[in-house]
Amino acid sequence: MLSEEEIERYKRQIRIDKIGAEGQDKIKNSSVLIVGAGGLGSPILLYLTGIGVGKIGIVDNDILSLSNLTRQILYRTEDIGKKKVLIAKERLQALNPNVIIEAFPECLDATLAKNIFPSYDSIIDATDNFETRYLINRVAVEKEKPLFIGAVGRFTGQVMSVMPHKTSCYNCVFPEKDEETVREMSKRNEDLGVIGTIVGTIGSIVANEFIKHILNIGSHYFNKLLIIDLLNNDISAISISRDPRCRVCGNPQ
Amino acid sequence: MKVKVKLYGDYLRYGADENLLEVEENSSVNDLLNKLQISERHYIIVLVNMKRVWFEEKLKDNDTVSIFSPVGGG
Ligand SMILES: [Zn+2]
Repeated sequence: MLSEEEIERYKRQIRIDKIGAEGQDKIKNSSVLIVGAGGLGSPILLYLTGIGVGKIGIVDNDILSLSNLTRQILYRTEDIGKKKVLIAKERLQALNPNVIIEAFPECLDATLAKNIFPSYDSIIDATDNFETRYLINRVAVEKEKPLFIGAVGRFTGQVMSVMPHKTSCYNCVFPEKDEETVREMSKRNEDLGVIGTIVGTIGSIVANEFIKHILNIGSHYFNKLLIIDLLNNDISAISISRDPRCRVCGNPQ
Repeated sequence: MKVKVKLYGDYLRYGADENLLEVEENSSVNDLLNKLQISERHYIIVLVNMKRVWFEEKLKDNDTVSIFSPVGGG
């Protein structure tokens, strides 16, 4: 049930016929773990907290630096040198005290992932490196957790949603290469640079995917890869399908 | 035979975003990439008619080939 304060706070979205008080209740009873509290994590966390998701977990071990401020809109110049998740928790709690914020100031490894993924309805991948992306995908598929993935580089962004063992997983589309190649890919991505506006665009779409999933409304990027190129204003959704040979969700020979 | 080639993101520097290309009968994905002068084989993702394929895959007349690579930043 929603309190009077909640009905007032959320009235503009409750007014949407596809949401209503019933939908708001579903949002309130939902939980999500967001891995990465950087560029993508910032808008995702701000929107999902504002919208009133019941419980939000954040995993990130980074300390805020000056060059983060072009796109990591949760933070301020005075926060430089502080742990991102701790500032994030404080700021999100101030935005919406109804939301339970759980902060994990740690690097995500397999042990932590397997420990904490089961406590959330869904997982959001907002990380900045391929090693962690493959890890998140593996554990999300293993624990049967819906996974919403955002990624950016330069003016380009990509989104895909994964329903484990039902739709294409991250590894079906981007099969994991050897360790050195994966490391090289992360490094190359860092060298690409990134513009804040694409991060905001992709973060909003990922947050929106989660909300629609919780409400069971609209269409989703399951079995689809969305590619947005804000330099050429090209927006395309490519249909993809499960790879029966996928080492994560298929039956490899 | 003709195939439709769609390039995304980084690969737009190898041609227009959508192109109808004449290729020899029995050409593979690999032959097509060579024809486009794309030598990179580590990160590239190729879909034929929206399905992920490998470099040896043979192309057919009227296939649609999509070429892109994953971005990974956050
Ligand atoms: Zn898979």
